[in-house]
Amino acid sequence: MSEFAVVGTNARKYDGVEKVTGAGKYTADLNPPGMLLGRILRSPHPHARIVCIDVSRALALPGVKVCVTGAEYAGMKFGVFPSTRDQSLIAIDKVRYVGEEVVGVAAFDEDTAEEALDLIDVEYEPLPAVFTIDEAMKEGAPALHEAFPNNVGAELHTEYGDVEAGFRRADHVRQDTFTTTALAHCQMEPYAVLCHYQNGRLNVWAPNTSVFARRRALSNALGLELNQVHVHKIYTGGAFGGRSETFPADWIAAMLSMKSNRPVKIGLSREESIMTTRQKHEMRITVKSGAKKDGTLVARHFQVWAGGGAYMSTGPIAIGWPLAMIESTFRCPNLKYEGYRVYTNRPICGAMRGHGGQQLHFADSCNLERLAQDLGLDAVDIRLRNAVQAGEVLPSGSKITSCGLTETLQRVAEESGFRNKVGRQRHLSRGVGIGCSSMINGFNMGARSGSQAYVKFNEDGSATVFSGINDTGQGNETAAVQVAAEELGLPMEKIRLVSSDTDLTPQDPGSYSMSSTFISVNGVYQAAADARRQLFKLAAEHLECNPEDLVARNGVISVQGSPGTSVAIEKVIWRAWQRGKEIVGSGIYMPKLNLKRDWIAPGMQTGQVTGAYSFGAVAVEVEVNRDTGEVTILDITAAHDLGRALNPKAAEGQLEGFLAFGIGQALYEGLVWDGGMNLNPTLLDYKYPTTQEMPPVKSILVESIDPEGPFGAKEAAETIGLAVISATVNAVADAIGVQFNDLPLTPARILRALEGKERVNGAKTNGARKKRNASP
Amino acid sequence: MKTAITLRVNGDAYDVVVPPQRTLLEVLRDKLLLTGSKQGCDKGDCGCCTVLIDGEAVLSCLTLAVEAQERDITTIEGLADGDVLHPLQEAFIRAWATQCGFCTPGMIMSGVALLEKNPTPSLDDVRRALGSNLCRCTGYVKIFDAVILAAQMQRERAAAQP
Repeated sequence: MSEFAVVGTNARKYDGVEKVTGAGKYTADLNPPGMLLGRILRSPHPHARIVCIDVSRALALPGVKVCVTGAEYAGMKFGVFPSTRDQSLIAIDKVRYVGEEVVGVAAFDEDTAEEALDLIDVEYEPLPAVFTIDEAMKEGAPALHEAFPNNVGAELHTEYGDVEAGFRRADHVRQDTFTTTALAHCQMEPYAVLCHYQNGRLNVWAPNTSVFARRRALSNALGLELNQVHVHKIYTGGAFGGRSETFPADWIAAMLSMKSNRPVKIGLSREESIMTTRQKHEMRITVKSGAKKDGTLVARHFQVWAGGGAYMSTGPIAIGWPLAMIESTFRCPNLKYEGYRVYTNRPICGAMRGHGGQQLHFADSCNLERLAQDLGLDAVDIRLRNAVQAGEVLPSGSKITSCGLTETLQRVAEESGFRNKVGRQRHLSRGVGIGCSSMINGFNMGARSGSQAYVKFNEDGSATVFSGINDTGQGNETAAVQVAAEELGLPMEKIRLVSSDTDLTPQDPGSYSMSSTFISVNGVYQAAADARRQLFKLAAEHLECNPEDLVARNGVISVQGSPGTSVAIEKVIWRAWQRGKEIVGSGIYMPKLNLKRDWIAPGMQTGQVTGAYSFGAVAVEVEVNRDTGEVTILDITAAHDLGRALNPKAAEGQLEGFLAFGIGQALYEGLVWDGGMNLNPTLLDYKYPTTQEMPPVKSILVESIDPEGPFGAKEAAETIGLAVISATVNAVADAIGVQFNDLPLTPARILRALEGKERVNGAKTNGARKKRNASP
Repeated sequence: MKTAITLRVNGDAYDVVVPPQRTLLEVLRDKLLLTGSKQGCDKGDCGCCTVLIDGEAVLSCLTLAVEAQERDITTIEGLADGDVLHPLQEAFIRAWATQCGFCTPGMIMSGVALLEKNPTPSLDDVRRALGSNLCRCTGYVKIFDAVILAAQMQRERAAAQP
């Protein structure tokens, strides 16, 4: 019999029935009585001064109830950090990208609201605009924000050790420059928000990854007290980092509701959702690495430029997070990192799957791969040689607690047959590649870094758990219920979870930063453990034994080794209540962090950055069609160190989902522009993997049992979404002998490379096509 | 100009008055308040709005409501028999084929249409049948598992019937 009754089983998804029957409600599904529908007039200019706005003709249209403009924006600007509040949640004097919100309208129906937009007169004075990182940073370029004349809104300069001395000791130094494009999250649910201002309180429903973050920003922007804003639990149709922040539609819906005294819903179209919520940063990354002959890294220097769009969003994290990832994957005592987050007149870039880590990983891993080739070393060996280990203190002073990086690499290499295949299939235009990465599990968010929970009981022995835990589909709620069930000794059916609601549940960091399992589920674990102690104390009195000798399973507390000596949890609760004793479990999990560590503040990138690190490796096998340039992924083997698999099937699902995302970024996805105008904001034109592109996957779950994680668990699979990118690029290089520096590897790019016209490996290719008939 | 039509959805007849440009999806969601069918793109790219019309998987965002008169429409709300889930619904839960759940109704409806025609689909059959349903969470692998599992469950249920 397993050590656990519930943990480690493929328990059913807690919200499964609601999701397969269509009963689960998403924001757009809500239709409260008296509801108005809102639409937003958006800027057609990438950069312009607003001269005047006239809404009188729109207001005169029958069916239109209210309008709102930037003239009514009186609160605090929005920013992820107090130091980055640069965005009023509707344009006031200037617009800075195509799609920026200018006027909100609410009407009895959506058609009327849409018609009203045509009747709004806005006079703009167009301003010169900048679209690329280079344009924005050019001397004398027009500035988006007065406070940042060179358009660099955030920068980071950090050095650990002595990088110059490190490079002098290196036997070989290699430098590469890589680029990635802006990407769209394409959550299946287009963004929507419903606000209802009633009796002095604002009720909000919107897809989100933290009800608490949303409440704070809306209270700041609207000048309401925190407890005047109630952000309700609602299903979120995918997030991937893109539902973390507060959006102008939220403020506009709130204002329209406050002005009309009615509920107001705004549902964005697919195009609006892609263009005006968040996108992924485009990046240019230069990596210089120095190593000894055996591949031991001695010095590395990273330079990162991130094109971020019109507002700061999570910019400091986008450039700061990758540093935490880089130092925790491959050991290197001398590390220098420079990051620049650049404003451009394009949509706002924020968090997306691994934040800037995904782009940096691609650069980091491809550079290492080429370094290995320069030195005549094996791709797996160089990674194993430099892979961090449990107990290691990183250059910044952050310590690795549990670590399965070496195991994930070894198992992926072995089970994919990597070493038997690499370099041997070029005559078939086939190749294999490998990648590996680390991931943090939550980070410093001050008082919001930890998660609290409560457990109350009902007279039939069932329990209700209250936790701020947020689930945008990952299975976080199921994990929380499994852990509570295990700790309380109850079957899962006896546990109800109330989650993610600012009025009903306690503080939680939210489901970004890969913190939900390690921190939020841990909060639930602490509360359940507290309840269990109380139950055991009372049960021990009843059974006349020591609480330490008790175990609980299936609703029954018994003396270990003598199951006959037992009492039902239901009975313990009855007896307690009859004697006027309360049983309420409460707990908090706060990771052991350096709360002074900052993403970008000078000299503040030291100390513990996260409570735990997870690790993963991926091997990819591809075939390249030399006539069409198409890359087909034949097979993927992926291993992730998740501490403990609380629910193996759920974890595999995370892993497979991350693979699909990473494959998209490696091969297909990229936003295409004409200046500030995006040309592919639809699901037909923005291509991400369909059922046809998804290859067979072999998943390996590595359990390193983290000392702090709930039952040893850490986040599940984010590393895989990073590692698959470089593994794919390296596999293509193995297949056709061309090393790419720019993503994605579209058929056009592959064909150009085969014709010697693409920038690869730092230079134009030279006759790679000739290798077509070369023997392996 | 509006038209009075009768829609037969999940066995129930609804009389509605709609302008001719109104799509079936809009009428299902906004008039009948059957919000299980999702609007993911409104232009036939994502498959979240898939329903069955006379047993065929159809994108309800590309179908005018007036075209659906006098035909049998089945939405995700019409699949379960009381508390007993349809084998595909049950399989989606067991196989962890649903994550955020937004594509799930459309995926399941496409799966139902497949299994009606082909009770023993191969993996390739499943890939093709779900080819116009997008998912951003799962990487599809567990969805394939679920459809294959549902086919098996359906066969078992049929065999168990007297």
